[in-house]
Amino acid sequence: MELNVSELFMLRKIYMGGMMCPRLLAPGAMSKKPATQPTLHKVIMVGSGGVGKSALTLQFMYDEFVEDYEPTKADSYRKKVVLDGEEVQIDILDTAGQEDYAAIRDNYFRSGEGFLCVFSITEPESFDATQEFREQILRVKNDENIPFLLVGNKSDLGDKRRVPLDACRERAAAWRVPYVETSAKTRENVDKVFFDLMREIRSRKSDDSRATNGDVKGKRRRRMKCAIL
Amino acid sequence: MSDINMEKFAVPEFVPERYVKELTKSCVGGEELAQQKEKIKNLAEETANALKKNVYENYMQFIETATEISHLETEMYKLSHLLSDQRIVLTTLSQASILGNENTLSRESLDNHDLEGERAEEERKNKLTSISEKVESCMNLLDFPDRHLLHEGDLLEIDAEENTALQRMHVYLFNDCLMLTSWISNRRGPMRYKFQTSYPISTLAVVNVRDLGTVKQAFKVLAFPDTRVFQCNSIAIKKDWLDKFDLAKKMHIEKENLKQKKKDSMDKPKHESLESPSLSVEEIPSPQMTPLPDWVVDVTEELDVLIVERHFQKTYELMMAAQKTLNEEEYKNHPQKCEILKKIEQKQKVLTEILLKELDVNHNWSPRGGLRSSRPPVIILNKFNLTSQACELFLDICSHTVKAHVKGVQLEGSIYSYVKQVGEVFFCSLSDALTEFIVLFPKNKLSAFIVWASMQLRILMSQIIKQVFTPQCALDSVLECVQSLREQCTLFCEFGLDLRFQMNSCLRTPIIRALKEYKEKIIDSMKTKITDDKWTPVNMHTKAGMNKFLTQMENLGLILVRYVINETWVDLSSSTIWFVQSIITVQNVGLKIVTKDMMDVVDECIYSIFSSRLMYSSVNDVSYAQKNYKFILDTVMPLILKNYKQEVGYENEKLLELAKKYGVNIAPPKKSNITKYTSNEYL
Repeated sequence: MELNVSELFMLRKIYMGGMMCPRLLAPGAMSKKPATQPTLHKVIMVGSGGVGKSALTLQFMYDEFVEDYEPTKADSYRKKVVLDGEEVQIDILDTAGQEDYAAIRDNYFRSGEGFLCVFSITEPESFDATQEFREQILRVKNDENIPFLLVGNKSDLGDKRRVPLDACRERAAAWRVPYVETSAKTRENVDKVFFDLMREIRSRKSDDSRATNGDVKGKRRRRMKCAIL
Repeated sequence: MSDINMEKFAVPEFVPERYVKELTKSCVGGEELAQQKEKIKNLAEETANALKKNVYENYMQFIETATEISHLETEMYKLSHLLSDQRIVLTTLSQASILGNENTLSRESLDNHDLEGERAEEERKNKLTSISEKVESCMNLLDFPDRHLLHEGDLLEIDAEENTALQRMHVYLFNDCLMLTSWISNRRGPMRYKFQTSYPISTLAVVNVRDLGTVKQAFKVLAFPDTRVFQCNSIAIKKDWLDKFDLAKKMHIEKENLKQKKKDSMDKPKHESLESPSLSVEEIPSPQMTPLPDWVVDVTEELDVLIVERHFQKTYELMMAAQKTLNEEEYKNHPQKCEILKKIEQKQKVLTEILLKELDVNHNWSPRGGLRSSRPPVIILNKFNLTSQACELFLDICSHTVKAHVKGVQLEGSIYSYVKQVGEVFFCSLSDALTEFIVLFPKNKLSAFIVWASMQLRILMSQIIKQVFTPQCALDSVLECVQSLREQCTLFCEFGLDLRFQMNSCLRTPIIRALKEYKEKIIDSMKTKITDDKWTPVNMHTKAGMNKFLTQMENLGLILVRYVINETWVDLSSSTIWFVQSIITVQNVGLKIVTKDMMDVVDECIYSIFSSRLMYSSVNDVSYAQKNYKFILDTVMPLILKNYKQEVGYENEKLLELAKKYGVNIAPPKKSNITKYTSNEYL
């Protein structure tokens, strides 16, 4: 007579499905779904307006470079990729650079597991802004070790560079995060930043699950360290 | 053979067929079976009786509970009424403050604006109410005065992790929040959706889902820790939703900014006012002036808050503390002192007004709280030297409670039990009021209570008199009622207040009237009784009837065994018996019911009845009538005289004279009476 959790879950789904208007259902949605979905990693693109967050995302998603600029509000994408031989899903939340109300950004940041903090190497203001983004993320996530990459975009425009490489590296070192320069136009390092971030997220998740699966001590130790830092 | 008891029948798995089978198996012969049947029948009857009893008991409880509930309901209704009143006040207040900022507008445009605004407001309210009617267990949509609907529609919720459809939703977007409702699958009545949750706009993040594998036209709502994905029917619908979300967010931000600005502008003048005097000339004349403590500066606002929150005691304390502080030497010349003192005085006025209203029985006052609930306001009012008003109002409340309690007594059964209950209730509430009064008011107010109490008594007595002193009410039940009232009143003396005089003075007139009426009634009917009398012994028909008659007479003090003939006959005529009963009743009741100052009334009654009887007898010459006449003169007259002396301690001179006039020889009472007539009383 007992049902295990997954069976119950299935039942609930079937029951819910029965009440739905079929027109609303996308084709295939009601067909038998695979037993388990690949792991989902949630990545958030942050950075000032016009630094190329959407361009990076679209290049990663669809291998295409969008030349014309249209400010993003908040878009999300999902893609199945193979990370080190394992099939995973990446969920990219492309946020608005020009969000005029910082408090609302909090709500976006809360859902992220890893952050790509993007600036344009041709725009010192955007580099300055990364400081603010970093602080906000740390405050919202309340975690010094949140998976985070500092990304200097538009590396193809080397002749117009106005943010020195040393400054970028220095900041990344201060934050103890990797620094990568990308070009959404040439696709240079585009896959790298996403995959690097996913790896960090993955290792972070396995840490956490180990901690919850009995290795409480290790987690506590790490927490202690955080507190001291 | 098995016992028959309840337990067997009470088990849940009892099957009658099986039971009967077993029973027949174990019984031998029809007779035994019949016995069993009898037993079962008895059991059934017993159960039925028990059930009935229980039902009656429960029924009474049920009725009590029902009345209690209806009381509570009215209370709740009152409360909700009060709350809605308050809400109206609050909304008008908030509107007033908004208009206050737009004072530059011309009056006319303001009015126009108002009219349009009202219409819009009406529409908005209608819309929200209609939504709440559709949504089961909906949150209160009218909570916020400027909430309005921006968008609504059906959406399909998708599992955020697995991209599978979850449920059909109906989603409402208001300017300040997002409300999610699910469809009710088997709906009945007007409810179509079931409230699920709502998120305030400020905590929401909306994401346009560009790509989610097979799921198209979706958007995400992030409301930490929830992530909810919704799918729309078409691109256009999705665009609509996203635009509306954008709008809501923009409005929210604008509002926040406005608030921020207002706050800033509010802060600014304060700063200025604080800074400028210190920079200006004023600094010179009072360099050593100590600044007022913050709490004193803000005291008026604080008082307002406390009054609104109904912390009256705290309000009073704060007021006193502030006044004391301001009157201290160091703030003697402070420029703000007078102003603040004046404001405190105003607040005091407001407070007393509220407190007086609180105590006013005519103003939403509820008897449910009891007298104790009026304690705090009274205490504070006393401190404000408003003792007289407080006292007056308090006594009004007391009158109200007394009235309510007395009203609660129902006229059931005999008038005596009613009067007894009323008396108890009345004096109980009186004593409650008295104890509370002593706690609350100084000694010099007690006179007010006494006046009040005697007035209450007078009111009560006038009510009772109307009910008791009626022609239908027999004289002895009137006596019972009066006696029980007097008893209660005497008991109440223990509280230190003797109301007996007041009570007796109230009773005096009706008692006299009742006695006189009774006397007249008897004298009136005497003539017919005597002329109709056949002057023969009376037949009591049975021995039991005879015994009953004898005990009746014995209770009146007459032993009539000597007059019994042939077991069922009484050797007295019917009119004589009637006369004896009447005259003894008049004396017995009369002597008990009157107070000393009314003795002459009783004397007069006895005398008139007796003399009229004797007058009739002297003209009648039937021999049996003469015998009865002799009985009255020789037996009844001395008994009456003796009882009278026994009761009051002296002779009934008037009757004695009458007796002498008719030549009755009054022997020294002890000897003659005890030998001739014995009664329990004298033994």
